[in-house]
Amino acid sequence: VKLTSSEGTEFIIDRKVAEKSVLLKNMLEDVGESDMAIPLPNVTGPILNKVIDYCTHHRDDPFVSQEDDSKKVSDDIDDWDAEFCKVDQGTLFELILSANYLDIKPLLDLTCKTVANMIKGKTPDEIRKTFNITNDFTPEEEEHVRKENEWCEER
Amino acid sequence: MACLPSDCLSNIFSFLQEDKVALRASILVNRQWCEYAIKHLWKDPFRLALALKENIDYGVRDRAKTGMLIEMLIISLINNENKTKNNIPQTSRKLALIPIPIFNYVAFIRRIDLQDLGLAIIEWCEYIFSKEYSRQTDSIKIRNAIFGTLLQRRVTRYTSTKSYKKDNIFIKEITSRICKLLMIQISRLDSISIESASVSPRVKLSEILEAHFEESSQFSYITNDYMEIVSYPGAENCLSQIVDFSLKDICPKAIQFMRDLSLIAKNLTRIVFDARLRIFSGESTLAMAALHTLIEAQNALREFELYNFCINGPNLINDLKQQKDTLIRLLFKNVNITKLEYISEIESLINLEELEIVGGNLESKDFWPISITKFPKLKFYQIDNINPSSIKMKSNLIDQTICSTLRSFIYIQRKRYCLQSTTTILEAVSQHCMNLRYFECDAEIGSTDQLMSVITSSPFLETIIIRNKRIPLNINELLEHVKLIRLRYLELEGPWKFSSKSLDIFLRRSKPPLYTFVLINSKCFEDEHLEVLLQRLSGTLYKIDLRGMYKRLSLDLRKRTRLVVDDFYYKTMDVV
Repeated sequence: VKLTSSEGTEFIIDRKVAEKSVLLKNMLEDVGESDMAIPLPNVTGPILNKVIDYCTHHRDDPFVSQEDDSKKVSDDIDDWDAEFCKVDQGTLFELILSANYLDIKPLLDLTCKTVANMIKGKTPDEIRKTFNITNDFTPEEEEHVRKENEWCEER
Repeated sequence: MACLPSDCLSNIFSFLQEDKVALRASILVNRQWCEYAIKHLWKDPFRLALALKENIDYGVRDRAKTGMLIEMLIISLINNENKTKNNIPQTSRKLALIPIPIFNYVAFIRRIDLQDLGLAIIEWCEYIFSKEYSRQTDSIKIRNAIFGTLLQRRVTRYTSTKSYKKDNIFIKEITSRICKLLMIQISRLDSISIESASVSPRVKLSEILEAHFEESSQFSYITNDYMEIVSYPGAENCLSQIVDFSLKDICPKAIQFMRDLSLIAKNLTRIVFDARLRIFSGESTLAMAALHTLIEAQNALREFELYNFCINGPNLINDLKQQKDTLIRLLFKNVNITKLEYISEIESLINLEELEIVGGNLESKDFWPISITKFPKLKFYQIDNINPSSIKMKSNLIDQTICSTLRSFIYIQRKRYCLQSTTTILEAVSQHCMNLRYFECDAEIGSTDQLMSVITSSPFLETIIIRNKRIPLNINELLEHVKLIRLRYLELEGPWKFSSKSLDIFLRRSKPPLYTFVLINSKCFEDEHLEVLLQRLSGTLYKIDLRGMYKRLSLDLRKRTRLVVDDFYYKTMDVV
């Protein structure tokens, strides 16, 4: 299967690897085998490279259907996956976007878990600094939200 | 972060749904974060607030916070009700005192544990009469307005609100009003449970449980009310999409609850039932009948867990057989089985991926009726010895079935050791399992040969835990012959005998990514062994845990180990 990234770089990968992406799987099923490259205008070359790394490493994993969300925890990342996610924040977010676009649920979950772990143990201010977010609450609004949810404050 | 689409943001928060602190921080980051994190914070609020209720440190301040949660919930309920009623004149003045919340919090609730809800309501009743609360005029106004609108009762600052404190009728009324409003206003719950805190006379209770688990407490007074929730208007709608149901109680109300629920909820994917009984009694007959009705009503049950019960007939397994197309997980814990034939039909649940039967009693000398080869999708199998007899697996050399999906096998002789039983089980494992990743065995093992065939048949084992506390076995030959290239965790307990040379050969041949090495009560481990570990596993070994060691390791070497291994624990045997 041939894929082209947003800048036009061509990647050739196994069909089995490509099928980790539900988007590509459906596309391949509709179109059938073809020599035409599939354009992926939303994914840059370096990111596509990472995504392919991930799909190749996990090519033999069984397909997991929508899991029941009562078991969602963020501390079950294995070593390879943890190492895979040791990238700068920009790359991590682009990976999330690509996983979302290409519909690769395990990769989306992995990257989201990584972000969730970055949130853990931080104050709102530290979170804003980490992710470079501006606080658009008015002081009254912020106080209001805080007050209504005072029940979940630590002692 | 602003560039992430909202469904990704929501997905991120879904991994934090048990982390109250992280969610609280997230709602205060900015408006977008607040909008998505708040839904997860309020998905299962009573459990979040009461998560540590059994903890002895759960004190006054935590209890007040639980009160605050219920107050916010009531305010949200009243506001919603008011919207639908379009302001009835006589209550509007009181309503003006009740703040309008930013979010419709009730609409976010997806899971309720009725026991936690009941506890939280009682906590609120304590909270609103506390000194801290009474000092604030605004709070008092809100409290009185709540009384007025929720109970349609006139209360002023000067009428003695104190008389409501400890008033059972008042608490009953509040509880039933809250439950009724919840059933009407929540459009869809995913999960409902009644999970009593485990009150054991041996463990010291936290303040909150101490206060509420007395026989004559207000909490015991309202349990009857919250269990009636199923019959309230709106319940049919609210509870019809429940997928997860857990009941850990067997009082007549709870049994009735289960029966009523079976009329409404047909799409349960998971049922957990803990009868808290070990012997069969009149109560269990009723519970069994209700359980039968509930299972029968389901369209596609996937998981079933049963605790502290007794199976004295074939009915339960027959009910589960009706769900065999979808049932993938079965767990019996502390379930006594009066005859083996009652569970032999488990073999026909061919879609099972996880099977766990532990802690039960059974008096039978027959062979264990559930063969691992009968489940083509099985990934996880755990059994332990059945008291007072022991499990014996029938060996069938003609049967060449390989359990290719089976990844984890756990066998534990919990109550007493039985050599013969281990032999039959290890034989079955080595004959049928070629693909194990996790192998745990706590049993009396008579010879290394059996162990060797288990280990050689599954070359990709990642975790091995073997406890053989009595018989000293020499495993030098085993170490020198097996190759385990993926071994990450190794735990051995008991008087195993192996030389540093054999250990070295094993590590050199396999080059395993061994991360953790645990050795308990070893009589043979000495400095040379540790040297080998350090030399062969430098860089990969993260944890060494050596306890109950018969031989003392040199201080120098221990110091050196501490420098290179992050987590190093060492303790010699206690000399009595």
